[in-house]
Amino acid sequence: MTYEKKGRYIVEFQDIPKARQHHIEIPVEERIGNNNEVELGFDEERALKEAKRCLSCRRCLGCALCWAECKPEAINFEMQDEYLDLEADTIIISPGVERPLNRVAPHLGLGKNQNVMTDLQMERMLSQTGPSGGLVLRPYDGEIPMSVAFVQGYASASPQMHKSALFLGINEAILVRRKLPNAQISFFAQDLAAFMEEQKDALKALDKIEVREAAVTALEPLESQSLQLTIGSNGSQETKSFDLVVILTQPQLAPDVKNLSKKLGLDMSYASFLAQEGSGLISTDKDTLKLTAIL
Amino acid sequence: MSGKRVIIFGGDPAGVAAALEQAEAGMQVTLVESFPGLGGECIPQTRIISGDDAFVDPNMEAVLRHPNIRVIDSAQVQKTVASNGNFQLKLKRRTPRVDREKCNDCKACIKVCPIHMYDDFNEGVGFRTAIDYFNPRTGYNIFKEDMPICQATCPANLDIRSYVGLIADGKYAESLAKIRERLPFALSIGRVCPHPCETACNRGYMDEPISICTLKRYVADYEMKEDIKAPVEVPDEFHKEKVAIIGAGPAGLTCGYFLAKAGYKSVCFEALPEPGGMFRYGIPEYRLPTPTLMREIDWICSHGIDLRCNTRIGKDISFEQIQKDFDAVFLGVGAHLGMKLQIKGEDMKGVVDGVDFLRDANMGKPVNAKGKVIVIGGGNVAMDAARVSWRAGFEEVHVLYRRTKKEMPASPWEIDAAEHEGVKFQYLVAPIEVVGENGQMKGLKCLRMELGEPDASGRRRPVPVEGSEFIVEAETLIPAIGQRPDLSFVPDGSGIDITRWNTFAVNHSNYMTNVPGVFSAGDVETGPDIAIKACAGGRKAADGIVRYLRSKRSK
Repeated sequence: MTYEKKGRYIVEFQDIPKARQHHIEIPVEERIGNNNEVELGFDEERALKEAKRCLSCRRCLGCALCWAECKPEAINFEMQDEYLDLEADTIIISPGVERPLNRVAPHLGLGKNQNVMTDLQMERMLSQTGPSGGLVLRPYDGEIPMSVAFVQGYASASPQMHKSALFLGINEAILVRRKLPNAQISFFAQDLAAFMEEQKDALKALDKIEVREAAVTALEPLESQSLQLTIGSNGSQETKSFDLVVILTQPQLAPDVKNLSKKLGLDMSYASFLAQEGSGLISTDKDTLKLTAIL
Repeated sequence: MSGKRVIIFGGDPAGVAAALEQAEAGMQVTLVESFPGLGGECIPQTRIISGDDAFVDPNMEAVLRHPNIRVIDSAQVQKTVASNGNFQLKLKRRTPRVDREKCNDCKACIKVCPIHMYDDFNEGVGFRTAIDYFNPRTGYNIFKEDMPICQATCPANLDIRSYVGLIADGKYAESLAKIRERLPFALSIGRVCPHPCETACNRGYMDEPISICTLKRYVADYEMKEDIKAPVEVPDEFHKEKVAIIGAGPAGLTCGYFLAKAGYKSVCFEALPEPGGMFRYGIPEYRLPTPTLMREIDWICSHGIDLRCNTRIGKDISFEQIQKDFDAVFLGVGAHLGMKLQIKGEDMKGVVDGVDFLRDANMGKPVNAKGKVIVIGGGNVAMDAARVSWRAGFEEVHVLYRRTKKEMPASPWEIDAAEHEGVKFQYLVAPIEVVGENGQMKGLKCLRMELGEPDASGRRRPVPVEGSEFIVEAETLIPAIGQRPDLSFVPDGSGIDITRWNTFAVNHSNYMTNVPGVFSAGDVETGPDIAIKACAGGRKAADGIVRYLRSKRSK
């Protein structure tokens, strides 16, 4: 989506000066025979005028169009940040997970090819309240993909993290199958043996989803914007093309959660809470601090 | 009363479920979330789904309505104190600028908002507007943090939007502090930078770009004019490791500044009598006065840089000695060797290289300004040489360039200023021979050119016009056609990788050369480039050095 930048939307405020301010400089006749500084910069008046011209791009410009449009008069540009003091007897941290994109193997072309997306983006796409209202679409052209590959995007992770990423990926594959009954769906990951053994029964119920212990070693975009994957498993290699590729990302504990728990006197590593089975609260070594288990 | 107040951090489904559970058990619950709304991943990550049980969907509505639950979104924890078995916390809640009591979720604001950005609420899938909701049930807000085009274009990634905004608010000291988070040379860069940020500025689409560079200069000048003492913020104690910095130019001093901020002292060796590198000896006085530069350098050095001028590596102290005495070495010697024209008669009296000419002028050496002078080249060094010559009192100053004004790499305002001052430009002319008598030059034999096909740089290649030879009479010739680094100080056995452009090869993740503990940035690593790029390199190298020293210590 693009929009015209040419001032179409910018409301002219009295206090946004129009013309660019120019620096003060000494006249040419005063320059010869000496090395005095030529440009003298701004005086305060010019500096203030010039600074107010800045549009603070890609952030609210203060154009006030929404303010003018809002019937219940809910928009208030004067509203200030608040500082709150709270007291508590017990603190519960719901740590969630973060999935850093810089850990995704570069050869999978995330960010270079529009039809390569992360598992989190797929999660949003599958959500009824998400950006596509729950439809699975190819980002490049908005077409319905006829083949979807889920590909492990990290080299290795702790067993708990790996398991969590596999659950998310498999569940997404199941949901994509429900939306696209005729699409070909493949799932390529490594270190699958233990997981497949443990989840034998649930995996048996999968509806035509190919789950394979394999590594994707190369990804080539095709002219149709589909992606050709080079898949290596058991020492053999094959190439196969897919309309959409979903990368399984490596879950980890978010740095701000780490900081917060450290400040509260708790040493928390991701593995320690993911290892807990079931739902509800997880106790820590401190009575007044608890964690929520991942759902 | 005690034992009943619960704070839950994290408004994801697990946090929301916990909030409901606690509230039902009779607790007073506060649910704190850093995002501007509740929500999160709803696909289970601990089991394989089956049937209708596909999503985790906590009752968001119930959380918002429950009398015992207070939801605080867009909140950051600023301070935590744990005492007597309970916790005291200080939170900062970023304003939504939308009164959620009044908002009726009609979405009219979203339809009119002109700002479209990748939807960070939805992992960048699709677009959203500056006023939007993360979750309509928890409310709307006006919100955006992203790197705007000016900041992304600046080699040092200065937070332009913030420091310009602070100037608009009249907060000059805060603005300067913001600049100094990433650049110590506000006074100097504010004067000499060719400001690629302004070329990129979005306001240019509307009328003219913001004068970013002059605004930066304004806040730095304000501090100087009002004689405010610039704050020196360094750790109370320095680490025991020491770093050697070779070359007191933009890259070296910036590196030393950020090393000091990280708690490492450095010793800076400079071959020339005064610090500043190209700021001091390349940029003419009329663009950057020496007292202004020295004020800035004194302040930078006061952070913990021991400056030793008149110390040339390889002559006054050996490179091996430095490697032995220091825990890390930073090489920022710049590119001070002028390129040769490769024509006959170039060694005659009267021919002075542009870099040498500017250095002598900046050292205050008298210029033999008699008759006419020819400057060859179309870059900013050529413009500087021409304008300095004009000031020195040559009768006529001619700039010869082999393409046209359109292709000149110099900043357009520098060309305009030179023209304004009376410098004469001759385009489509190339020198072929320096002519003279008894070793003194008397003129320059030239050829007319015309533009042919575009070359590798995308500019049209000049082609000589046959039989168009002519002579320009002049007593002085200043070739300013490019520079390269002088690497003669590095001993043969050092083993540092050198590129085919005669620059140091570094790993750009930490700016270390192939020799452990030897780092490099600035013109000697990039080849001749703009000052702020050297400063940016110096800062990144300082980061690399800090990481290197830490990892060395932990071994």
